[in-house]
Amino acid sequence: MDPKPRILKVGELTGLILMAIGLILSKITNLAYSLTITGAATLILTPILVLTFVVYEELRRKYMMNVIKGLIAIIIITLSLILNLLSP
Amino acid sequence: MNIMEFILLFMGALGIGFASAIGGIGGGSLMVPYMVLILKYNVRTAIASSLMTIIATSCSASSIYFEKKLVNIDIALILIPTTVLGAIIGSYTNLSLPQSIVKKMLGLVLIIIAFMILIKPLLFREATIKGTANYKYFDESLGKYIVYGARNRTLAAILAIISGVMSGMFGVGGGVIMVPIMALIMGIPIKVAVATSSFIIGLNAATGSITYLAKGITHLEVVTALILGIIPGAILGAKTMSKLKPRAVQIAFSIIIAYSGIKLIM
Repeated sequence: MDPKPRILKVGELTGLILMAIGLILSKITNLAYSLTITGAATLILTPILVLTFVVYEELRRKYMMNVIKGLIAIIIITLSLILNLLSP
Repeated sequence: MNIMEFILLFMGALGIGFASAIGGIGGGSLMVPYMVLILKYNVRTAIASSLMTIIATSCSASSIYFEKKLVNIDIALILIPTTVLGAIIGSYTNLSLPQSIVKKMLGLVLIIIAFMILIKPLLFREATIKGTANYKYFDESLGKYIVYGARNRTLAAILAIISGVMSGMFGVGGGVIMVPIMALIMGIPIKVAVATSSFIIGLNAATGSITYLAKGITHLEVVTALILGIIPGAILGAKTMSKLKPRAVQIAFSIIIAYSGIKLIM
């Protein structure tokens, strides 16, 4: 069975639930912001995780051109993430 | 965020999700003008929030398309590297330009989107030209497998950067560019183009969102309210779809989007 739809559904739902709890608790506790940011990060990482899984599947099928294309995309996204985290 | 603001965002997103599902159009091109023109958010916040909302809608849609095996991974992997690069370029360009210019450029892009929606049926009339038949998908409405191919891969990969820039810079999904690239330039069937584009759009939005989130521009409370509204709206819209004429909704959509574009430019 293809796990990609499940990863997408679980990622979306987890992200949304964490963000919603964060929103509800935002008036009560400082922990709320951590929950909200974790939810947002989960949401952002979900399609990237699916892409990583796609690359893994292509690697198993030995479609090396597809693996290279997928890896290029993952490297571009990772570099953007690192640059954003490092910049003030 | 106060209760009234939450309700306005939630209800707006509910309506946009509903209309988007009926018209078969991404919600970003309505979400940003709604936030800027009606709720008076600054344009950068609206773009960043819309982009994060698109990730959620893309996850919902592409999970269904993956289940139906409509997403073509080969095609997606041709377009993804350039389109994510475009999303990064778009988000940085947005941050480096003054808001007033971004607002005017967004207005222009919305007018183009409105025009593209209007000519959609004409655009895809010749969209089933086939290349070398390497792929197949099961068409539920026809009850048989459709064999198809993909051509002009390099040209499509280069053009996909436009879709990425649009997504990262203006907070719209970019499907309005991505689907024609796949259907008209690569010659792949429209159903596969829509499904594959929905997955790519999510990646685009995620890449663009990293920049906005890291710079503290994304208002996560606003995003939560929007996602909570747009998902049930889209489900409701999908259920009502058969009772309404999608073309009439598309025409209404393009008029509203064009009007919003003009208002943003003025």
